[in-house]
Amino acid sequence: MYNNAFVLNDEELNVAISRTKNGYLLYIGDDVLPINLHKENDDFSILTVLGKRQAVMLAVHGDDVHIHMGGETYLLKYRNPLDRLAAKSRGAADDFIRAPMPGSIVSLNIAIGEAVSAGQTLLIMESMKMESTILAPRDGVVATVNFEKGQTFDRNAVLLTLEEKA
Amino acid sequence: MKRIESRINTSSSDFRANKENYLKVVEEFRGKQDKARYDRPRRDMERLDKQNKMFVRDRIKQLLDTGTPFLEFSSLAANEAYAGEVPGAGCVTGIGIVAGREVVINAGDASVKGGAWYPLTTKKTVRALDIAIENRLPVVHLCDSAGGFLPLQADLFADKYFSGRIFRNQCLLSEMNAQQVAVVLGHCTAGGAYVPALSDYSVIVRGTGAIFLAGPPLVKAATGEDVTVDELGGCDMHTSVSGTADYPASSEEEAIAMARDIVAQFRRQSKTVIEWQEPEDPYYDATELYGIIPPDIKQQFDMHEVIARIVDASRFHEYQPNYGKTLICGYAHIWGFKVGILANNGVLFDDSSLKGAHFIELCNQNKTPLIFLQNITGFMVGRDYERAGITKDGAKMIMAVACSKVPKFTIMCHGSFGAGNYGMSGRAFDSRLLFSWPHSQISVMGAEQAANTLADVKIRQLARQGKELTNTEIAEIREPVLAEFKRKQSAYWATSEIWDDGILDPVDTRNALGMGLSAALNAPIADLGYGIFRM
Repeated sequence: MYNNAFVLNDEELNVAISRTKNGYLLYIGDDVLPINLHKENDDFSILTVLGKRQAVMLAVHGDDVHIHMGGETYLLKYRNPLDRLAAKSRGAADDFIRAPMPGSIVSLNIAIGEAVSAGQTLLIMESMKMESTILAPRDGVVATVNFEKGQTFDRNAVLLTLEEKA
Repeated sequence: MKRIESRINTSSSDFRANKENYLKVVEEFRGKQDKARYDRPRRDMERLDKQNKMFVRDRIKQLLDTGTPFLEFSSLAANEAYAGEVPGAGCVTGIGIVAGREVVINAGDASVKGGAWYPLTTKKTVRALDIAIENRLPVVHLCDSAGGFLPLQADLFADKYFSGRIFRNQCLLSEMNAQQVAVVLGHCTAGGAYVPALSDYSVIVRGTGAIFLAGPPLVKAATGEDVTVDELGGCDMHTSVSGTADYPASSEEEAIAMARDIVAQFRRQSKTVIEWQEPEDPYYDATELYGIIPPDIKQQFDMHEVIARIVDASRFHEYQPNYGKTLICGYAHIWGFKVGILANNGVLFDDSSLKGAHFIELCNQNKTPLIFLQNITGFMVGRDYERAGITKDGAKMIMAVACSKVPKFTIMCHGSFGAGNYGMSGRAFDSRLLFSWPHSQISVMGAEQAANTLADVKIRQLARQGKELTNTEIAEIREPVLAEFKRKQSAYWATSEIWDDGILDPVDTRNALGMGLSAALNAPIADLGYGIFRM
């Protein structure tokens, strides 16, 4: 429960809703509010909170929800619970870059101490006649590099390690 | 379901170089396809005009519901055969929407050699009717054929999957209540006569349509009887005397309109129910696939990036994300339909094979169709892996694929080499549909490896006789093998031989799979059953 979250003005709001006979119940913190959203036409909907009705305009783009209500504009960002909960414990497993297959190093694209960003090419390896590019799983700094160009390694060998940026 | 987080940098030089390369690949494919579809010798088109016949593409356009998609099969069949003179193998097949129903269309193309059946014409037609059987789809036959191409009769007449299979398949379709209507728009001679005769309904055009076991010249030679086409097998004779055809039509337009009206009488199949939710476009743009696919077949790429550009909202529930990572398994939705995806991210190891077999069982347990995205160089080789049982673990995966009962779909996304092709539901494993991307390659092993293996064998043979090969002699062994392999491992060769159901521009993959999934649900999903998994 409360695993769904929206970010509004840098503040994360944990929310859940459940269905009722007349609409929905919104659970937010310790509060439970009766709410309903009725689509009037393509332009606007009627939002009812605690029996109070007001017109809102909504536009959804991916995880971003743009809301125009009472002369104000809000941007809500949806955070998937799996992303949120995974982010809390990120690091550790992502710090060890292991070989997906036995093979050899074709090229090393980084050096010890170098800062890397997620998605950056760390090295290129060859295995079973195929070249694979190993990318940084997260932002960080290269702590160790365990193999040189041309050296062979077994599957699951730790090719290099990352550490947090100082 | 979590959205896949793309790690592609669309402004990187790699991405731009890949994209520039792939746009050329797509342009070449489109060029070949347009040529096969529309480029005909002038005299053939003039002959059709003179006979008051429409071009096959115009007939299909009139038959289909306006504004609905047509999923064409094997548009480049026979493109590398018969000196390129039989584009599309002389027929057009595919799944289209007629009177609101999903139907298979099987149309002869009289602008190609008078619609004569070449060996690959019968192969393409049999495949289209196999698709109808596997998915329990009705069929509309648009008949206009000169009959079997006699010089090649040995390759199209007698064997199990040759032309007799067309008629056998028609009977099975009727038996399973997948209804058929034939529209006789030209001559249906000899074997071809059975296409309308074995259809549940048939329409024949007055003047141009005719059905007979032997045409006037053959009758004259056999019995000396002089008879005109109309008397022997014309529209009015068959609809009023013999009862071989059901509905007379005064023009092609009327005949096609009548066929639409007949299909409108078909009972609509109640579809197999699987998980479905409101469809959503992928979050990432499908055209970015062009920048992801590297020009070199040896270069790997992250298949998560491909999945992210095919599935609804780019959301993917990955199964065992940390185990057997060279095979990605997980759930997603395509056009709202829940699917299980297996995609290669490297060679298959013992653990990735076990993961694949387990995941296929999971999908069968909850009736989830399977999508295989192939980029596979094979199963891992070497002493450690043989000792760990790589062969028996691969066998488990192949057993699971072969005995799987949910609809399967396969896309050749890059390489398809060795036994990995089997484990990933290659052609022999009855995927409901199998498509190739235009740059993909398929063969028992890579061209280089095959050439080296053959050269090695020769060198060792001669070494035993105390002889040694010079570099030139080794090159003379390697070069022809290399050239032959390269030609026959290209997607164009594969599609010409109908090893797939056609080539797809990668950006069309999602739509093709959506239509395939929808069509597949016309057939029930059989009960579970497997052979022995070697433990």
